[in-house]
Amino acid sequence: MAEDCDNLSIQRLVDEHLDAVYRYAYRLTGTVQDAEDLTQQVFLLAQQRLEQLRQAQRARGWLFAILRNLFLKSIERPQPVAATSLGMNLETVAAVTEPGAAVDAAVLQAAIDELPPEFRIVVVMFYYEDCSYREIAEKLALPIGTVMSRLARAKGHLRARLWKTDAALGTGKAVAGAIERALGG
Amino acid sequence: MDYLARRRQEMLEAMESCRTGSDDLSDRAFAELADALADDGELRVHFQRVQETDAAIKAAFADVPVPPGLAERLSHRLAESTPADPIAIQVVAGPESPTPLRPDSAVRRSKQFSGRRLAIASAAASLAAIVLAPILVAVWMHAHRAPSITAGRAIDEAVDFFNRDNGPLGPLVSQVAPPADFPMSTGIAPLPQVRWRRVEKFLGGPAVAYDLPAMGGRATLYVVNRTVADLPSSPPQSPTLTTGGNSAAAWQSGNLLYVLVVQGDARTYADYLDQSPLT
Repeated sequence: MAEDCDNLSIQRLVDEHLDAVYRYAYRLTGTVQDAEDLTQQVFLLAQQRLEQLRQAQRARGWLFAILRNLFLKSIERPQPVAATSLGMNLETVAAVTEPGAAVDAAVLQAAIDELPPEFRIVVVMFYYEDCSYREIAEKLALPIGTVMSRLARAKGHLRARLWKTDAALGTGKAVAGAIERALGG
Repeated sequence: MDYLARRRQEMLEAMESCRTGSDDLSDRAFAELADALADDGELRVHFQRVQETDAAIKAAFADVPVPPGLAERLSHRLAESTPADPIAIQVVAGPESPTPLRPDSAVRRSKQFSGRRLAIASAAASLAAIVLAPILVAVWMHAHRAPSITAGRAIDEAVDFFNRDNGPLGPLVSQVAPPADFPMSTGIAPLPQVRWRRVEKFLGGPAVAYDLPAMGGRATLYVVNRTVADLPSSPPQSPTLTTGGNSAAAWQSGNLLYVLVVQGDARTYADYLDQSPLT
């Protein structure tokens, strides 16, 4: 049975979800200071709107939604993303590194920071919040095709930065060939 | 971008949209990808590597050290921002709540008014019911005197149905022939991997749904034996309705009503239409 929120205090939300909210904020903003500021804004707003939270089990998702909204509002005059800025080269997207390769934390954050905010939030929701592409589309009010496209481009960008997958073009072409066979081309 | 390149890109995007350790691949929108993975070992190996790479990145995403003292700094800020209005809090608490409210309870004081609000709302609802009842009865009678629906409403209901439609995948049209009385529209492009299934009730009657291959999102053509006035006899080149990330249009062929609903914009919708010149 769902636990109601009659006894849910802001302090309890802090105790249970502060770390998760901070990590989310850090992945989006890329700096400790900005992440801390954003985290504080999230909980300050949560404190004002605590009556909106109906079930304690949904607290994390509710806090994440506040965080996303604050982040999106904080982006001043978002610049349209040129199609070429993250041009999804088929080979780049398709090529992946060998399993087991280590992820360098600093390189990962630098790669995330390079993404335009519209792409960054999609890929953070996918990897950190474990949202499906449908959930991302619903929560951001975006067409599903847009989400899938941004996700593929952003993931390809992260892989390219993390593992220099451009060097593995052969793999990408082989995969492209396999897809064409599947499509009957 | 040519048709094949676009389809290839869409399949790559579908692959990238499957979360590691999930059952996303069973999503109807990924049926074509699932079939391709079952048939092609090379593609399967690649997909496995994408998933393993995703698992490594996903683990790294959560690996962020939390600065020491953050909880204390946050608690201090929260305490500072708590509304300091002891009189209001005391009034809200009332004589039946002698226990002092904790500071963070102040922001929830509106809940304390729920009983009074409920009484006002009940009275308002009763009044509205008395006033509106004759109107609602008239509307109901009018609706039941007119069994036909407008084209706009048919499309609205179809989109609503599509959004809730998660019926199991049916067989491929190329393997099991669909019912002859609910044929595929000739206005739809000759696409591969089209599946069909029966729908128990669509716009008031039994129907057949043709699930078209995904071009970024789902797409379904519904066919039902129903006549709706003022519809074209072939699919419009542009969707009649674009809402919530879906595009849709309807047309009438004899007694059959066709409604195409596509997840995507007008361009995606148009990709499903047969663009070959009329002969």
